[in-house]
Amino acid sequence: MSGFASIIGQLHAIGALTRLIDNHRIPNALLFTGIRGIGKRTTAVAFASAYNCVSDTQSPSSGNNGPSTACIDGRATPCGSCSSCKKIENGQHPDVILIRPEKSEIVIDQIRRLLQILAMKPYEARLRVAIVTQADQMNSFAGNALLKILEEPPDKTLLILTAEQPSNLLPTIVSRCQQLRFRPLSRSEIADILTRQHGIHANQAATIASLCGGSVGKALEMNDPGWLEWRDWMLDTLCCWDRLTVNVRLGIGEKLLASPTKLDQALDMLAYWRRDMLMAKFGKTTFIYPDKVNLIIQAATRYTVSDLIACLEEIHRMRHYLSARGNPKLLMDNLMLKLA
Amino acid sequence: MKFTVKKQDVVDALSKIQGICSKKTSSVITTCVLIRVEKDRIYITANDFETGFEGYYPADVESEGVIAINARKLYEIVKDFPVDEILVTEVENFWIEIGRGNIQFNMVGMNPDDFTNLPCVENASFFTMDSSLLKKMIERTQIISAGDDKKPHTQGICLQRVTVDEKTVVRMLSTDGNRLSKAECVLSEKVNMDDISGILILKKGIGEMTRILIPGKPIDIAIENNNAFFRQENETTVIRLLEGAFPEYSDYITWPDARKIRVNTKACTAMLKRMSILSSDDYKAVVFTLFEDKMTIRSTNPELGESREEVQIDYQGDSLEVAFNPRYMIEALGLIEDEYTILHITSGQTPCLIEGETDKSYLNVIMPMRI
Repeated sequence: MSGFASIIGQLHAIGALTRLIDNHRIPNALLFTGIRGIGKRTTAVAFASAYNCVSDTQSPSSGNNGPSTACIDGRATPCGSCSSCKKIENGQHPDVILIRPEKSEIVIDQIRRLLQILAMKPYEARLRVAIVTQADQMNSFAGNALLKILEEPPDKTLLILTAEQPSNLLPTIVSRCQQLRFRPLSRSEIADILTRQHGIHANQAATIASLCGGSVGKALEMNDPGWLEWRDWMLDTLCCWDRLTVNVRLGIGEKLLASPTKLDQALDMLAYWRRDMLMAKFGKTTFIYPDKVNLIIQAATRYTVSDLIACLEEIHRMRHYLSARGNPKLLMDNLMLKLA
Repeated sequence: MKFTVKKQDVVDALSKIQGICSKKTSSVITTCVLIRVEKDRIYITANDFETGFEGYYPADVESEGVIAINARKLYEIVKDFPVDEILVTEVENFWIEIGRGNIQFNMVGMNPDDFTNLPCVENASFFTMDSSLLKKMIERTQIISAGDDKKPHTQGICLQRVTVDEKTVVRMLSTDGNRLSKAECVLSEKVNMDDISGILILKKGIGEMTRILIPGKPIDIAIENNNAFFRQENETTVIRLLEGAFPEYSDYITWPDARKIRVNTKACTAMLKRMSILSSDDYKAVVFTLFEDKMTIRSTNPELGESREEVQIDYQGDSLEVAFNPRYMIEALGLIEDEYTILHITSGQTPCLIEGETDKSYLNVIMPMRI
């Protein structure tokens, strides 16, 4: 299945895009924002298909001699079976260009290459689409190079950027894009995707859906064998955190660093646990770990509110330094010493 | 699919497309050549989305079909094949068998459906010109390589076809921001089509096309949609056009007050070469001083020393001093076929025009350097 029909949730964003198609209005650039793994890129690709599906279209053949950008027609339901749709889906279409971070960031060379491609006329597309995913990973040089296209977009070309946090992008880029917010998916939507599209057992899907924070991407990572065991271990550790000695905590830090893919989730859990304790302090009942509520309430008595907030700040700082490429080992040791 | 083809035909075609297929693109399929077998011929196609090539060659066809196969490896296999006729068979699952009996290669191909077809050429309206004339124009404009600033008009060569005095003139223009090259030729037959006011063709693609050009045969040219087509009998090259337009340049080539200085082309080239011996990246300018029937050229390099040379010319009036990059001058003079060259110099801040004494089909414009 292709097109917008395959995208679950995001009715608001898809509605806005469909309106763009219906009103024959194509902006110069779109910026899709929202947490990762909720279908931003998939939607961008579907939008590219919507404009380039060639099955039984109004304009002839590939439409090279078609009208200018102002009246390129799109359709909300691309067929998914014509050559153009297939090529877009397989990433083979010469006019649908996907740019993603190489290693940890998008570098200027990638943007320069894009500029070179965009300097040419489209190969066959009615509307050429350049998709820059995780645009917030662009370094400032690349961002400034991209500005050039945003300021003077070539004819028949649409730029779609996706980002988790628009605040990480250059403000000059954000101001030149039409922003569209993507929402985290609901638990039932995620469970549905997991069972239907990925063949995951309903029980497990429900567990994962409640934990993944609305992101299919995260949910799929959690489906890795051993992830649930890892989480149980992590929770057990958290339950007895206040009884751990410094040495043990440093050892745990080391263990967390050993699997960098789970580091982010580990930090999440460290933060969520303290958040739940704060909730307990103020007598609220909306827990992230409702099954451990007794332990949380018990543990919460041993901390003051300001202690907990200081811990949360410490975790937040760790994340910040990590993204600024601090030494992970030193940062983790530091965090473990502070999270008494 | 099964066919037998003459080795030489395939080797020639494959050698022409190596440049196209070796380019790195986002898609692996561009390293492949598509071979389509129909009736009594095979079609060989390559496409890197910037430049494409298609040619057809006679073959002894047993069954029709289509395959995509790594162009480089196929070329290497076929090039040194010891027999003149090559048998190619598609086995199954994109496996391709080349040769049979004593020598046999089995290669895995790719799914031909992934191959992006070349833009359709059928409805294009072609005009014909002599390929040697075209080649000469390309040589004269391609001397200016793509500029660093990535502006479309420096990345491409501008092609125009205009009607002047009831004659069709084909013109090519190229610039890198510091100099401009203009080459023209008059077609022997008038073309009754709308003028081409100016399209930009990627310099890289043009370079690829000259490799494919067979001298002596006429070439058909068409501009259709977003592509330029160059067709010679059974072989067609397609180059994608660039966005944008060539800047208005007529102001840079009309200098009514210019002093015309007539120099011997070869002697002047030799002189400039001598002058550039002492030039380096930091000190590359050579200074021309015109004063009373004399042209003095000197180059100064504080790290190495200086050189000076004097020639007799026909010049009256105030003293005039202007500096140029000698490499640009040497390259421009190298493309002039006349014995004598005319330099049009107006002042130290305005461009210098270089053209042959009689041959006005080629003009080179060089911006002066600040002294």
